[in-house]
Amino acid sequence: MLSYQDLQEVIVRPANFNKAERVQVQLAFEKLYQALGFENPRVICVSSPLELQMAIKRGLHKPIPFFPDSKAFSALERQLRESPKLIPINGKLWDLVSNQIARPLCLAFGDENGLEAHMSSLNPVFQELNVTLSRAIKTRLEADGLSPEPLAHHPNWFDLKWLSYYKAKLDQIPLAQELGKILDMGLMQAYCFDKLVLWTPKPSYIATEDNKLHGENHPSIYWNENFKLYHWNGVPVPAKLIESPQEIRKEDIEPIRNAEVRRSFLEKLGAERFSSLFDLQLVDSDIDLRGNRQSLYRSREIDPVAKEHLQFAQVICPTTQRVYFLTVPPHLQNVWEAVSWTFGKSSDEYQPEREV
Amino acid sequence: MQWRQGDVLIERIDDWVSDLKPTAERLLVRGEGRFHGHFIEGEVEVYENPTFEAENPISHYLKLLGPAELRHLHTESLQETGEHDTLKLAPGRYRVVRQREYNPYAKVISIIKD
Repeated sequence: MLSYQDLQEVIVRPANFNKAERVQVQLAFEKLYQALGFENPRVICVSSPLELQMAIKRGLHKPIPFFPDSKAFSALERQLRESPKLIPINGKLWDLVSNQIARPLCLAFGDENGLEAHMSSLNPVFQELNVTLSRAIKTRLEADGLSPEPLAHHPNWFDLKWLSYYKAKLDQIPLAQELGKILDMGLMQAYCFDKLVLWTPKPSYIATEDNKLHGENHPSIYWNENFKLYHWNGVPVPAKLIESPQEIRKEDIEPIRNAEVRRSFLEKLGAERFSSLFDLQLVDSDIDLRGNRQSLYRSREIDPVAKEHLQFAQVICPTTQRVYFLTVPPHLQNVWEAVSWTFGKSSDEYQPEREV
Repeated sequence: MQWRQGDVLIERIDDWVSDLKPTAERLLVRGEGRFHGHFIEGEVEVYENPTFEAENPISHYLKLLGPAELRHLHTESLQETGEHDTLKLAPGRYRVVRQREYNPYAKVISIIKD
């Protein structure tokens, strides 16, 4: 399995990404469109996957929540004035890449086992990035009552997974060479109309630690100031936690239902600050089988929204030593009642022989 | 007897429950957003509990026909995550209990998905 570090050059755009790369992408798209029998399209590069979603919606004459003030969107408006009715042709590109690039490559140079192993080695990183990006886009669009537009399956940076396997052979199939150029020049996602191609490049950087997406004090994945993602040890977290942790208030933490996200808040803020946000008092504390302290904390005041005390079991993972806070009901009186309750047990029923 | 691997508790049982749904899936618990999961490996029959919910957090019943292991693996590469040691389990019958927490604002109990 290849790590983020191994794939750094594949998953981020070229360091010198600029107009020359965009021209290369345009020329390569022209070749693909010619092969389909279409005229050369206008090819517009937008600066992030979020702007790509806006551009696609604009091309489809759907409402968009904001109109980016950029040369790319001005060019899109010019295109829409020239040809108001654009026809999506993502399916035709799919056919072209499948039938005239992937299949010939496979027939001429294919080695099914080798290709499968090659793709498997790239899959974890690509899958994780895809899930992270899809969730971020969905969340941002849903905040405006919108949903994501489907993208072109080809070209898409996922094509790198199989195309890179045939890298030394691409010059033998001209269209494969053009697709290779598009991806090498930095394309991440695209949407193809009959007279227009919209595309966005890969992020300008991806930050990791121990092969997990992580940015101590900065974004973990960065396209531009309007679209950047944040992670803490692989866990997606809000920008505020990383950029301005001093401004975190209990209202930011209370709605979080994911234990890993809450753990990230605790790790970034530190246990003391985390507890202080809730004004907790220690109710009970004991040592578990592995010598780790487990504690039960309760908010000093009745929470005005919950209309009851907030109560937290603070537990330590025996393997990783990570500290977790789990919310438990306020009627529980001691730490073992609380930990047992998290597994639906009474403290008499919860007696694990071993914890890992 | 009970053993715990992170947010999963596994209990040896003597009795058995009817109306369980057999499954070929060996990934018992999939983590949310991190590509990690708890896998059972060995000569094992796995049954889903159709009444699994936060109030009754037993997600699976297991019949171990030989020695088996509960492992915490990366769901793509199937390599050890290093976050939880492997638990070795003797042949027998077991149930898998998920960890849960309480939402004081919604007054609901929910299964933890880490």
